[in-house]
Amino acid sequence: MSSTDVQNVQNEELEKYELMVILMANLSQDDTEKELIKIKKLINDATGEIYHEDVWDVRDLAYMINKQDKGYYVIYYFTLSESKHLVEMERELTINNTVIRHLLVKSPRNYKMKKLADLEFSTGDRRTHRVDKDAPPEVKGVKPVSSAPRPRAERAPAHVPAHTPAVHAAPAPAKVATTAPAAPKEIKKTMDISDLDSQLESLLDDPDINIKL
Amino acid sequence: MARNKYSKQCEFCDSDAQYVDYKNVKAIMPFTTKYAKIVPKYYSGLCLRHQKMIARAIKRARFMALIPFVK
Repeated sequence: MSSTDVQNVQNEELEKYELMVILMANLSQDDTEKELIKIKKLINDATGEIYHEDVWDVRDLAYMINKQDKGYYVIYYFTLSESKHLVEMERELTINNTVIRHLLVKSPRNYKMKKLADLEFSTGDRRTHRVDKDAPPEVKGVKPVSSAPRPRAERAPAHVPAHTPAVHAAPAPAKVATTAPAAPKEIKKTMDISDLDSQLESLLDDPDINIKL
Repeated sequence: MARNKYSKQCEFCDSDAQYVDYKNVKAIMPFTTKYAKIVPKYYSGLCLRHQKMIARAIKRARFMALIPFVK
């Protein structure tokens, strides 16, 4: 396994493929490992070289398949030198009873592989856009009163202190009197805000998980 | 997925997407209705090329039970 050679070959000629396989979830560890070895052999027999392997582990299926509601997901990324053997590989997979589903896809040339962790935890671009879009409408509500864009900038800070008065307003009078008592107050209030943020995030994360499954 | 009707370009064109991955469920889900159907082009606001990519990705994800056919 000279990895540099493999990479060079990838870049030059060979087509990249990816094979996603769903195995029965109720197999024992040894059995699943045996099956995985079998599948790897199939790929290698079809003149494929696996350059990455992503194990998603047991997941809920979106619908029942063969009276199963869970499946063991694995994805193999490999390069092929001859594509004619793929037919036989797919045939073997369809015959295999422990394989619930399989999907063979040719990856595009400049495909950037994403691991499960990246897919799950990186919010899609659309999501972040949406959050941004949600925020502006509140400002838009303020807009009609003053059509010019500059007042918006002045108003925005005026709103901000309402949420965090301690950070801006409190220090000034506190410093005049005594600096010591002012500091703990600030810390407490900022701590509360950060706690609230973390709580909100945890709340926001839950529905996402439900939607996905 | 009603889209701002004043925005002309599709959002995948903005990011110059060459491929939509069927494994990226989070990216796909916004283009399905609450009954898990594919959102039509005139609602999604995508160009034909990217609408086809999304549709293909959704169909693949459905087959692999990542997202449901029907909710």
